[in-house]
Amino acid sequence: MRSTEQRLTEQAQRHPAGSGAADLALIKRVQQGDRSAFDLLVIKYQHKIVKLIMRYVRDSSEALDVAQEAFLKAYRAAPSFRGESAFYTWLYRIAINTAKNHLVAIGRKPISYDLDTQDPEQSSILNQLRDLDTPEGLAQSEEMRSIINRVIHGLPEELRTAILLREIEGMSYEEIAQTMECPVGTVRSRIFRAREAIDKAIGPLL
Amino acid sequence: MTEQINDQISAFIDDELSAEESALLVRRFEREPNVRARALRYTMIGAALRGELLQPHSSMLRRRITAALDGAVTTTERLAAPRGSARYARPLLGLGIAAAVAVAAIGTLRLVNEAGVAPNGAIGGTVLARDQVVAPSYVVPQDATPAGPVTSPIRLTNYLIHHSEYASGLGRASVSSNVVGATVEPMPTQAEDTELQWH
Repeated sequence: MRSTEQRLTEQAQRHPAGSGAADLALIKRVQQGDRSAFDLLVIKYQHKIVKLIMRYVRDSSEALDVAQEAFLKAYRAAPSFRGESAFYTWLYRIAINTAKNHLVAIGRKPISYDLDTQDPEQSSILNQLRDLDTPEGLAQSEEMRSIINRVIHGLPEELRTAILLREIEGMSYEEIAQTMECPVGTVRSRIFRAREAIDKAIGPLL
Repeated sequence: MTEQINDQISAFIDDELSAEESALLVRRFEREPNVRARALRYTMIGAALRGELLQPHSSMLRRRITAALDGAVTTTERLAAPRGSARYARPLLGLGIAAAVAVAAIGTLRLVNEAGVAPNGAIGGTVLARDQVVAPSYVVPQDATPAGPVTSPIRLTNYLIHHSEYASGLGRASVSSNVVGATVEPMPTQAEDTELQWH
């Protein structure tokens, strides 16, 4: 009978780039007791998870608490992860269940499972959620966002398109390559160069 | 750190690195904090573009998770805890106040007790004054009057209840006021009681 580790190794080897190979490599290390590998998974998904949880809870500090709990549950459950689904799908489910359990525990109904930004009423809820952020945090985020926007607008067209398709549209390198009619390697290089330019600009802020 | 490694980090966070390259990079992440820091910055760029930056700081959640996994207190708790000497100042101040209150209470109790045993009944009589007085073993009260009639407390009760009828509407309305407020026959004295028994 194959062990989970063997199965994950085989799956990682079968996986081409862009289909969870990096996550499988990390989760395999986590299962071997490597905490720093889990830290990388936190780095990679913390923003997405907090954004997801913000759909359920009312303020950012509460969302951080629930996100922390969700990541801790994921860490404890990591040995049972078999790679049958993508790591993010698995983590996503844990986060949603943690958020729902949190709401049950405090006796509150979720704000909404899927807020529609086109709906004016729901859009106003989203604005209220944003208003709950701290002024200092918002100022720092705003400064960073404005620097990043400035750098993005100053980038050559092909770099700007590549990074926006990736970060905003969530396209894979393959999809971007098809959209931009260029090789995947070129897309990878363009995205990297765009990130490097932004990284240099925001360096003093960090 | 070479440009090639940075390019790999960029592809890694997009999940676009092959399994072999990912495995090698993960080992590098363990050894080189710079590689890890760059991965963090690249993910922050994406989060900022999507308006997902964490508040108040991007690394806060990470630090809290690390602390929780270490079994230590969370960052928020750590930040909330007073630092350095101030950490001990508050409990010590509380202890000092408690001790002062205890000493004052003991002192007051001692004074009250001493005053209570003083023969002249003066509160605050000194120990010396008390010691100088020779306490009689037993003193028969010379002007002791015989106990008053038993009716006295009843009269007093009646007075109070009748008075309450005029003084307070609440007292008048109460059941006990109406019942007890009625004319109450004085209870027989001890002598009368004895006579009744003989009859």
